[in-house]
Amino acid sequence: MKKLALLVILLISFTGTAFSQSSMDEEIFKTLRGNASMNVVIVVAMLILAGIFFYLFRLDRKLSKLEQEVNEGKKS
Amino acid sequence: MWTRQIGKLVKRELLNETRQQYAVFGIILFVVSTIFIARFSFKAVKEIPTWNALFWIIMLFAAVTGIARSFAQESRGKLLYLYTVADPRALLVAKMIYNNILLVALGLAGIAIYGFLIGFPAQNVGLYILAVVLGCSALASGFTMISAIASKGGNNFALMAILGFPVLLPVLMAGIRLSKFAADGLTGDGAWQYAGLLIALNVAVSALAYLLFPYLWRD
Amino acid sequence: MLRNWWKFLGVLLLAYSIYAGLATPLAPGIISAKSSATYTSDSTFTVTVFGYNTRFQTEQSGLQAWLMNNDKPVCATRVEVIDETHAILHFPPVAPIKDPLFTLKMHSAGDGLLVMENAIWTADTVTAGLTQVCQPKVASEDQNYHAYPFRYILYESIRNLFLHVPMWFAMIALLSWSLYNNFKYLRGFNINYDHRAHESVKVALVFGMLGLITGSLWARSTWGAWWVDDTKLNGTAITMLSYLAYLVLRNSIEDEQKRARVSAIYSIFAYVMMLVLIGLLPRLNDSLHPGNGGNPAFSNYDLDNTMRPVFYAAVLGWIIVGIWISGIRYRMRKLKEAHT
Repeated sequence: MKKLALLVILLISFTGTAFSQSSMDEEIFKTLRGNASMNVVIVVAMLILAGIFFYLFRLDRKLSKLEQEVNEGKKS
Repeated sequence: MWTRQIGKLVKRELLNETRQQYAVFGIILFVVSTIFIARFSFKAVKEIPTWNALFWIIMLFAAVTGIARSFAQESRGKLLYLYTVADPRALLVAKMIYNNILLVALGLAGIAIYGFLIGFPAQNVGLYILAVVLGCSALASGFTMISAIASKGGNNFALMAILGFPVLLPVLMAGIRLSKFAADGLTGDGAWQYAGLLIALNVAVSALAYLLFPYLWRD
Repeated sequence: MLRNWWKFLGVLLLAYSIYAGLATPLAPGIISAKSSATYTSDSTFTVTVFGYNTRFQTEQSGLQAWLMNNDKPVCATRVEVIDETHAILHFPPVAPIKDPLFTLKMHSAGDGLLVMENAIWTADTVTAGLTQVCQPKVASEDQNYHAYPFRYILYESIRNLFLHVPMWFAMIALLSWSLYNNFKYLRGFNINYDHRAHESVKVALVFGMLGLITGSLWARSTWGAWWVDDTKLNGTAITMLSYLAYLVLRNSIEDEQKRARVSAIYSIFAYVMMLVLIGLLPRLNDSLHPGNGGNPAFSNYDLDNTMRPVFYAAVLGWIIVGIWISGIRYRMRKLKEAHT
């Protein structure tokens, strides 16, 4: 979980520098703003996927705990 | 019958208040001391938006402190007794009316003290006072319901603020915008739109509270 | 299998929206145009054009370019193509009629009409009038390719429409689902409906968080700030706060039935205020978002026919996934309660 948070922070800080210029010169456009703002699409898509999967993993862990409880309940 | 019941209940609220005066004085003291703090920290507020927003923030906190006691001050036994002798809805309406009177009076007193101590740069005084009346009235109706909800859950001041602030923010925003129009001396469609919105919000909040209270009062 | 058809539908819709959202190209457009001269009226000058997704080389034979000032065109005498995205346009001397800004237009059969408003500025104060008026031959202005519209500032990030916006739709749908369950609870006091309402609020908040984060990133790249003072953004943030307050309220009440009743009432309040905040207030106010304060709405031209099916698929897909997750949470909760 900490690793994931670190990853997200890294991603965000990367995009922060990536989009810090808004000049529309060809060179800047090509390098910093990144593929005609395609970078932001990719980061957004990644964040959504990461968010949903992180949530599903948490749900999964909760379910495992629940299963354990249920099994223990049956034994006793 | 109904109106008589409500009238009696409002009278009871007023009587309660006069009997324990420290409660009302407490809120007035709260407003005055907050305004004094504002005066000492800002000296004079030159920008109209800041001046306007500061007044509304003071009013918002005054509303929370004033109305938080609305349902909490009654003991459980007394509430149960009231619910059996009167319609629970009548009690809600009475509390709403009482809180409306209280907060509108507080708002008018507040703007007078605020104008006296900090300054009153608003250009259209009439519209500004209308904004204060409409805004305080809508805040009072909303917070009455919120205090009923908060009294069911542990009922502390923090819960009241947590529940009330986000939900009543549209009311506050409409109030700020309308009074901003008044402060700038603009009376156009924009101002009346917000006045209409404030009235509509007041009606909507009161109607919702009235419809939902039967589910709330039982323990 | 058949009972779960809607889950498959959701997965299919999402797969389609992600595929079509990323695979469809952006329409060609002009990104930058640089003039060689400050004064355009005394000598011939060139304009260096940088295009995006254009096919200058392929379409070289029919490629035309002209400048527009006050609705009067001036054609390029020669179009020198360097590669697919670069071209140098040679223009005769021109003095503007009124304002010193020229709109650049290019046309070819394959790329259609490319327009860059106010592309070139001239320092000329002479307003003698254009000398070289011409008639560009544009057979049809239709763009006959399947692509997303080319919009300045947005560029490729227009695709975020299929990623960021559905988060909000999913959040609002889940909150509506929660409201429906709240009403059902208040009608029969069946605690199951309260559990459903509670779980869907939790999932709605996850979607809200994702919408907030992605929106913040997108705002940084298009509007230049992480958080803009926008009524719609603030409205959704406050809606999330009020639903967080709903969770706090639930925590503060012990008795199950009482908790269900009180929180249902509060969430009805919160929902109505959300409608005011997101639906009504932005209309009275200026907003950067489409559909408010003079901004174009998704319905008229931003959301064109190429984007519409993809957008609707994404919205419906995420709503289904949201309801699905909240259903799973609900079942887990039932199981837990049956065993404790």
